[in-house]
Amino acid sequence: MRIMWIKTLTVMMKFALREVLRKKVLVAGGLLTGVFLFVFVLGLHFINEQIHGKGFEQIAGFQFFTLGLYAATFLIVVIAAFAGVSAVSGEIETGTAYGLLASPVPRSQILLGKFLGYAFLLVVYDTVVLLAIWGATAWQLGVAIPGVIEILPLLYLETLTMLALSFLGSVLFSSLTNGITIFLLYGVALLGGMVEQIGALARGFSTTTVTALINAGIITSLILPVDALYRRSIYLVSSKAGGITDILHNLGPFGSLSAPSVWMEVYAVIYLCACLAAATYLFSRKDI
Amino acid sequence: MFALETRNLTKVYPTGGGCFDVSLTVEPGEVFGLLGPNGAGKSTFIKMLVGLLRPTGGEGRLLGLPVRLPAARRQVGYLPENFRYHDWMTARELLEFHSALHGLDYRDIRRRLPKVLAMVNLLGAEGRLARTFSKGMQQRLGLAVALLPGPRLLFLDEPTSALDPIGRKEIRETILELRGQGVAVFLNSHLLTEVEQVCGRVAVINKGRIRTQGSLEKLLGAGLEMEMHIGGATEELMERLAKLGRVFRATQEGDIQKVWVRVSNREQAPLLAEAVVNCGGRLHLFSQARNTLEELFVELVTGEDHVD
Repeated sequence: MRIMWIKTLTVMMKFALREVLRKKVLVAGGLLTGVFLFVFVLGLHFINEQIHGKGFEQIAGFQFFTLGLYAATFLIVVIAAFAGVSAVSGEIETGTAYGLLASPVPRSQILLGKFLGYAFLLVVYDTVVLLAIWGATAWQLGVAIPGVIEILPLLYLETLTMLALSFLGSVLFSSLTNGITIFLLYGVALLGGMVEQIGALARGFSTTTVTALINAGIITSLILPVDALYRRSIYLVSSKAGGITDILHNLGPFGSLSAPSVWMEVYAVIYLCACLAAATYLFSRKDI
Repeated sequence: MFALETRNLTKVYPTGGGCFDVSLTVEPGEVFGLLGPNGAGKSTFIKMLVGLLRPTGGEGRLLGLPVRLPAARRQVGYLPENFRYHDWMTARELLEFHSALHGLDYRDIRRRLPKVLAMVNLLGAEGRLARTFSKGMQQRLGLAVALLPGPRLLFLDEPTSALDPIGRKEIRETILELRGQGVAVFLNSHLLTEVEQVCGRVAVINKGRIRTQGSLEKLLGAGLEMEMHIGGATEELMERLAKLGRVFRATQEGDIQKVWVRVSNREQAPLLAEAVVNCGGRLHLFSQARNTLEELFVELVTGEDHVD
């Protein structure tokens, strides 16, 4: 029974991987990521020309790495959302679901197999992009950012959380509605995260205002913990920056002055599992 | 054990429509036809059986297993109406993918693939992307997908809707070949002549309810009604016709005598023509007047409001 389960998941994973390859998603994604990294390296190169030998390499390196991570996270989260946005609804809308779901395979295995296929590709992509940003910073500015391996699981968690939410939306809504809903939720999470950081920076404001701003961020983190995971990544990296840690924490809306605790990671894992469980349950009961 | 058995199987949509209290059985090696106008509930019924819709009442069994169990579909093939397959795959990849979902191992797939491709006349086209196939080829590819796992029960939902007359003939021959192999075929169609040619038993569904079901002989009656237009009809001829069957209507239009005769079976129909010729009459028209499946279908469906 277990062998059959693994076999089916493998078949669906291969299906998802083949789909990505055949639809040239990997080629297009690879080329555009190349453009993104080129622009990043170009920026590092010109900054290095300006500051070389003036002792600012450490600060510039951390700041550029943070900037790169912010942009990469945005890209990765958007790609994860796109990957799942029509995972189920697309099959129903195009009519391919009829042949697929009339097979003797439980729907939960079809959904999980597809999820694992996309997840595998996205995890590889996360690793490549993060190491490329780290490598580019080290190459151009000579600054090896510490703690990168620590934040890699957080990046995976961000990606998989977004993918799971997108899969759940794909069971509940049409592809268009799901796409709009997911991006609006991400927008809310991003904005909430920035508001929280502004609250943490606004020490001169009244306590009520500061608390309200920080709470707004926490609430949006609970709605979608993706941005909070990014903040935690930045916090972990900048905490290892020695004497410039305080400067890095004060990056304004992009920083992590108000940093989520490790419990946010636990919450994100629960959130991911809950999304997947809800998606498989609802998909199993859905009329096609 | 029945290949298919339902008892009061019901699906009620939130809008109120659906399929209500459908009870029927299909034996192994039997071709069963489900007839009904558009929107009558034919596809809803099949979708419940292949796991696409959750029944709201009653029960159904496929090869002895409850329809709610995915394992019940392990030896079941399904060709959906208006189906689409992932057209970025080649025909071979599609067939391999669906067979793998049915639990076939690679060796089985390789062994069965050429045979099934030959059956649906797609041998040589397996390396092409499905999106490059014509509509008829795609329909045949769909049938191949349904056949490759070696089903003991096959659901065909309007299988010939996209096919030309030759393609239809091929599908009919395939159905009869499968019947010969002991495969139960559940044919959902509104092409009545097609159903008449291959089905042993039929059910007529309208507004979600089965109106009648049984063997074609039982439904159409043992008798046969023939219409004849005869020139030079004599009294002797009319007497001979009356001996062969029951003349239930006769009208004269100019030189032509129009006669409707009911005979007890199909074998007696040629005897009517023979009698006309032997008595010196000229046969201008000789055709079956009543009791086609179409007449039965129209009789059952008209008088009720069409769903669509």
